[in-house]
Amino acid sequence: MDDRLRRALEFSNYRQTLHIHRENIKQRYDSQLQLIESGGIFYAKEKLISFISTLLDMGNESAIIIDSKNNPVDIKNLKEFKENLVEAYHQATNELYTEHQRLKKSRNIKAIIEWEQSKE
Amino acid sequence: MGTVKRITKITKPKTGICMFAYNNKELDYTKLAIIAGLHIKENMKNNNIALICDAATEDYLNNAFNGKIVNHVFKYIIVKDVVYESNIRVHHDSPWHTFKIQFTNQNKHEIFDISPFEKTLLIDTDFLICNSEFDLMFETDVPLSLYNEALDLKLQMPLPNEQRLQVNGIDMWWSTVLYFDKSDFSKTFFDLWAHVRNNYDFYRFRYGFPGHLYRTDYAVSIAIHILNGMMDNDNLIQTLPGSFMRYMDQKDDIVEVQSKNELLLLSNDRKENWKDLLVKLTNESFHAMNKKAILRHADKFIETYL
Repeated sequence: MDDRLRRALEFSNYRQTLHIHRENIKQRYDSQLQLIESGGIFYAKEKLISFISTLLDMGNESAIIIDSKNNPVDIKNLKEFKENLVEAYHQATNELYTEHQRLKKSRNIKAIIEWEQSKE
Repeated sequence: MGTVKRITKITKPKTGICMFAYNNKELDYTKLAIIAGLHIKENMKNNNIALICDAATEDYLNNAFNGKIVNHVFKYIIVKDVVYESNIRVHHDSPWHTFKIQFTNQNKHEIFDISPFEKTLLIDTDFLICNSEFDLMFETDVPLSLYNEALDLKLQMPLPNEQRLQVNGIDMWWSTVLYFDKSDFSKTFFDLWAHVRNNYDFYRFRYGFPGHLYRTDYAVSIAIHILNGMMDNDNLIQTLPGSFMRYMDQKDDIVEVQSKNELLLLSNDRKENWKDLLVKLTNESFHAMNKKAILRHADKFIETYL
């Protein structure tokens, strides 16, 4: 393993590693945006939050909303749904921001993968 | 086929996870199941686990592991013996080592009857759950859900024979993780899976895929194709949370278990096998196809998660 690891570090492409890790945090972000409501799986994305806000602004308290798997779902309490969406959005974006900032400062592969110096 | 000999505990929770473990001379599936189970206990709310194994594997489990660990991980141990049928599979452990060994998977479709749960997540013992995404499924009324896309550690598509059953063939669905309830629809699916399994040679010819290994991925793909009226799936079967299943290839390796849900891995280059790329997975569930890599780090996994 040590030999393979040494060669991996030699051959690894910084940009490729950075790209994969950016994609990984995007996947994590998408995963955290998911929430369940009345049996439907939704992503707390800006478009959905805005749409629910519009429905509430127009005086709707409940509505049928299409979930991420294209199922129509009867949301009985839109206000509570919006609060849950915004909470999930904040949680996901906060973690995304933190990781993104860390990656921005990571100038080599060891920093990206958080490899400890003591293990060398 | 064997019968259910013993269920160790009687109380019946409504939701849970099932795993099959049939040990062979090379691979300790019980240890893999314990590691996968510890991940489930750490990350999921619906964390009742049933292990399905044969009598010999159960004996080994009881003798080789501390009873406290076994009881902590498994709520049920269901003994289900199987009649031996040759099903030799080639495994890789890194690009430099291969081995052939009997692979017992012929009764996977029987999970519909075996599972003690009303809503079940069936996972392979080499699938490590590192977040709570799958809990969402238990709150839906979806009868059946699987993955039909997979990406490797570098986020690349798998080889063509794992995207479709053959060139221009039907879509591949993965049986690695499978959610189902005990509805009539799910029963129809599992009955169809059994039918495909019992007539595998015919379906291999009909769907034009090569090889002699019985692959449950192929069997479920054919069952889903038939359920859809011989057409591509149009939302009849919904995919599991997340848009794809992440997997670590058999030629990849684990470098280090850094902490809970944090793993450092080596992704091997498919064209230039002497090259590897370091990839870190954090809070992401994945299919660790190189089982020996998990087993090499078994002590660290168990120490980290216990």
